[in-house]
Amino acid sequence: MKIRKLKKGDVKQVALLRLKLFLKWDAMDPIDKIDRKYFKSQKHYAFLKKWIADKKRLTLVTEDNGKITAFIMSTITVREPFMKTVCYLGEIWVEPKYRKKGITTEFIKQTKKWFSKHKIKWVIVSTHSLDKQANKFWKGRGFKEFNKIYKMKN
Amino acid sequence: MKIRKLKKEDSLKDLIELSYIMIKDYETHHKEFFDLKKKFDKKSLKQHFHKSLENKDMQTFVAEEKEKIIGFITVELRERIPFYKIKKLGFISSLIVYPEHRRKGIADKLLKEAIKWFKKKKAKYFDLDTAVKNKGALKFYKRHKIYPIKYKLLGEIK
Repeated sequence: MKIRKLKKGDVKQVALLRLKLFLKWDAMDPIDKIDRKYFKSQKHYAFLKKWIADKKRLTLVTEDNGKITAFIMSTITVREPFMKTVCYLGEIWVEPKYRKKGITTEFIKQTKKWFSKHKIKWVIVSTHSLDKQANKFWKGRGFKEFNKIYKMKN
Repeated sequence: MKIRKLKKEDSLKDLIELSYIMIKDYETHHKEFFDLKKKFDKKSLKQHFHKSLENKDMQTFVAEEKEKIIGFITVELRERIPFYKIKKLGFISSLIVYPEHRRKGIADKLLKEAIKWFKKKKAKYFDLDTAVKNKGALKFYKRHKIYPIKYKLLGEIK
């Protein structure tokens, strides 16, 4: 399966895959409940198009007969001068039918290459504490937990 | 000791010194992130505190003893990505007390004041980041029944 950069013509399909990803988190936590309508809105499509044009962001997709089957989104963040630039591996979604075929591994490999090109040494991923699958996945790839995000209901 | 809002006329000397302690403390837990050959920028720290005075969605509360600021907490309301039903979350961006004034319940009082502010701002939830290696902070938040909900994991690009 070929991996390529996200194109403007893909945004409606990727928007729906993003909806699936955020619905997973929506089910995990009342704080992360989403408004589904947004994902099929022009506002969301414009956001994705802007993302394509941004040199500090990268979205890769896989395609099967014109159908987008997976995506990965990453960002380089510039922080205070005494802090090193790090990058975030923000979102990954692979359609269930296309899982266990090595797409995620290839996505990460290509994204890391892009990070290296930008001379970035450290990559951050954020996972929900209840998402055992994601935590196992990242820890199995040498990622170590370094920060906890606390949330409290007021 | 009293807890109060930061005022325009307050000298920022102690707040900047406390910020340095906090950043250095943070650095011991996150060596990978820092480039300490580059100096801390006093000007941007000052701007941060001035911003909290001018912005209605930000606030700094200070702990004062004998006219000296011995600790502070900075809170803010943060807008979320537009698709979330909960549009704004409270956020604690910093909480620090001089080492010699710790274990006197000052951080507890500052946190209490922050929670009061979140309630006033109708923020149903608030969040904060803490280093996994910062055992003292982990214990502190557990005592206040604040539990971790998300993890940040760090990987090295080789």
